[in-house]
Formats: sequence, structure tokens, C-alpha cells
Amino acid sequence: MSDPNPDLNTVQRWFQAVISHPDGVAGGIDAEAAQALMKLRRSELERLIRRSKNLSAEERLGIYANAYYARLLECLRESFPVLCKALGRELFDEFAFDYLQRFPSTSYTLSRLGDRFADFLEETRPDKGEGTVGWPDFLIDVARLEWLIEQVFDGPGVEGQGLLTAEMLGRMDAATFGGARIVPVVCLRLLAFKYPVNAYYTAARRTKEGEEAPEMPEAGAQYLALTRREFVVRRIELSAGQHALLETLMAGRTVNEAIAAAAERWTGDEAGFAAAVREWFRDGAAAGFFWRIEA
Amino acid sequence: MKPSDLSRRDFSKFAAAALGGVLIGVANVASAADEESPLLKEPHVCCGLNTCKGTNGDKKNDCAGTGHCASAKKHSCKGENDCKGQGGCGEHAGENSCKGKGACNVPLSADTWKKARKNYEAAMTKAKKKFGAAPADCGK
Repeated sequence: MSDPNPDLNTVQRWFQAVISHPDGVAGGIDAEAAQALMKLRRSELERLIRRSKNLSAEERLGIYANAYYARLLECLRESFPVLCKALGRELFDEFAFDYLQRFPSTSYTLSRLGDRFADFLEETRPDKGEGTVGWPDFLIDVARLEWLIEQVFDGPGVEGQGLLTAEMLGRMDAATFGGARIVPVVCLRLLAFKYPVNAYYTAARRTKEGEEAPEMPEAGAQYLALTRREFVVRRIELSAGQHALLETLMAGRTVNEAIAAAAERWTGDEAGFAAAVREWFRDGAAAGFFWRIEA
Repeated sequence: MKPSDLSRRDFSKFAAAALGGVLIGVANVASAADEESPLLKEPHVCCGLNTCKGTNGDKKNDCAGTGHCASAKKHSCKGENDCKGQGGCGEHAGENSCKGKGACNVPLSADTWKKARKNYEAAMTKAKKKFGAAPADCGK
């Protein structure tokens, strides 16, 4: 042992390096990270950690190491319950464990633990995203949806602030409104999927413990808005045009620019488009997407 | 429709439609909040109804008994970062969920995706659905 009386800070950092090592305590003690802090051999462990009546120092340390990963896996299962259901718990844990090696927990809060899980699935997918849309896309879509639901639930909202009102619109005419910017609520998020995962998510959440996951749907584009109203996360399916419109408004562009973006996705005639625009703005306002307006 | 083909007059017409839509929509926001959305019947919504966001320091969860509440409750716990999983307490004390499963090697992705593919094929076969061949480098 290099230093017979290491300071607390060193011991704590060594402890973290050992218990968070993927190869367990034995691998953790011998690993470079722990050795850089303290030159301690496994045979010397009891000079630092006392053995108990029934357990050796290494076994005692092992409790913390096992609990560390067990807890992180449990957190990820809670954040991605539908993905866990779709994959099955054992397989989900394998993905999650691999993810934790590549992206170890670094935040003070575990609510950031799954930040890059969907990206990780995308990066490690076997087909590298080339070719036709397939089952890896489905899994990644589910992961993105679940993570964003959690972020919207946990993130800032507009509860108690009120939404866009007729009074705020004042006596705006069409020309002024077209040049104005609608500020969306801070909790509004948009998603574009390759699979219709919204209905799948609903069906999967309705299954009981022990029941099989719903059948994977056929591939097909789906656009979705997530928002939170009175602390309830809402999922609203959108058309491609509506998605383009909202995306442009969220980028801080004017109503006219948003209409132009939606027009690019429109395949029907002008009269139909005018009716659609009216409907999209009506539904968006009623769904509480709009917070304020800047003329 | 190409935006470049649209005239100022067209935009005026569409902006008028948009304004009309918004005015109807904002008038209906309150009633939308009152009516029971189909979403309210979904288990996940419960997480939005609880008080676990810690308002007024109240850490209690008021939707106990439903599926997601347990997890919402844990959720507030995990935000505190250190209330579980330390000291070997809890239901997983001393249990390493990857021990003995051959899953502790790094990297795992190739094997894991391979297993995922196997499960996918089994599910598709069971559902009597056709599926394409796996990519050539799948699981390598």
C-alpha cells in the first residue's frame, strides 16, 4: 500500500473508482483509475477496509459495487418501461449495462442518467442506420419517446402562467398576425418517428405485469407533439404539415414563415390548405401549445 | 405546394385563416382542460397528477395505487441521488444483475443487438409476419 494513511478525499475517489468498475471489485482494485489514486493490492485490502464477522473486506465492498449497478439499471428501467417491455428485462439490462460503460453517470442527479440512451442505441445499431427502416428504428423511436416524456414531465412548464388569450391578440389583422411570432410554451417538444410508437406506447403501458408486450407495429412515419398541462404530459399526434408549421414557430420564425414551411409539405389544393391552416392553429391553441405573441 | 408560387394575397388569406383558427382555439382552451381526455385514462398520466415534483416541499405522492405511481415515487427518490442503492440496502442488496449472465464484458453491443434480433425474429414468426434478412455485419 503506497500511503498507509490516505486522506478522506483520496479514499472516497478510490472507493468510487472501485465500486463503479464494470468488472466488479476485483477488477476495480487492479484497474488504472483506482491504482492511480492508491497503490493497493487485493491482498492488502483489509488494511483499508475491515472485514466483518461473516464477510471479507472484498465481499463487503462488493455489496456497494453490486448495489451501484443494480440501482442504475433500476433507474433506467423506470425511465424506459416500454422499451424494457419490448426488449424483455434481461436484454434491456444488457443494453443498459453496456450504455453505462460508455456513458457513466456523471451528473449529481440520476434524472440525467438516460440522456444519451437513444443516441447510444442509434450509434451501436447493427445496420448503422443504412438501408430500409427496420426494428432497430422501432426500438430507438420508443427510447426517444420515453425519454422525452420524462423530460417534459420533469422540466419547466407554464402551470400558473396562463396561455395565449384572445386579449393578447388584441385587434390584430391578418397582415400583423402573419408577421408576428407566436412564442410556444416552454414544455412543447416535437418528435418525428419512423414507426407509429404513440399508440404502441399507450398499449404497452396498459399491459399488466407479466403480460407480453404488444406486437411491433408496421413501419410508418409519425409526428408527435408533447406538452404538459396542469402537470399532465400530453401526447398529440400531428400531420406532417402541422409538424413543419410548429417546428418553424418554435424556431422563432413568423406565422407567415411557418405557413410557408407547412405549404411545402402540402400536396392538396389551396382551398384545402387554407382550411388545414385554420385547423392547425385552432388545434394548437386549444391544446395549449401557444404561450405569448410578439407582434 | 411551393411557397415561392404563393402571392402576398395568398399569404394574407392563409394568415387570416390562421388568426381565425387561433381565436377559436384560445376560446376552447379552458373547456379542453375540463373535459376528460382519453389520455387521462392512461396509466402514465398519473405521473403528471402527483405532487412528487416537490411543490411546497411536499414530497408525498397523491396517486398511490396506480401502476406508474410507484415509479413516480421512486423518481423523486432518484432525484435525490443517494437515497437508495447505497450501503447495500433495498431489494437488490448484494445482487449483481449482470453477474452470471455473461453480460459484463465490454463492449456488449454486438451480442446484445444479436440477441435483440433473435427476439425480434421469434416475435415476427409467432405473429406470422414476414421479415427481411439481418444486415450482413449484424452482431459482428
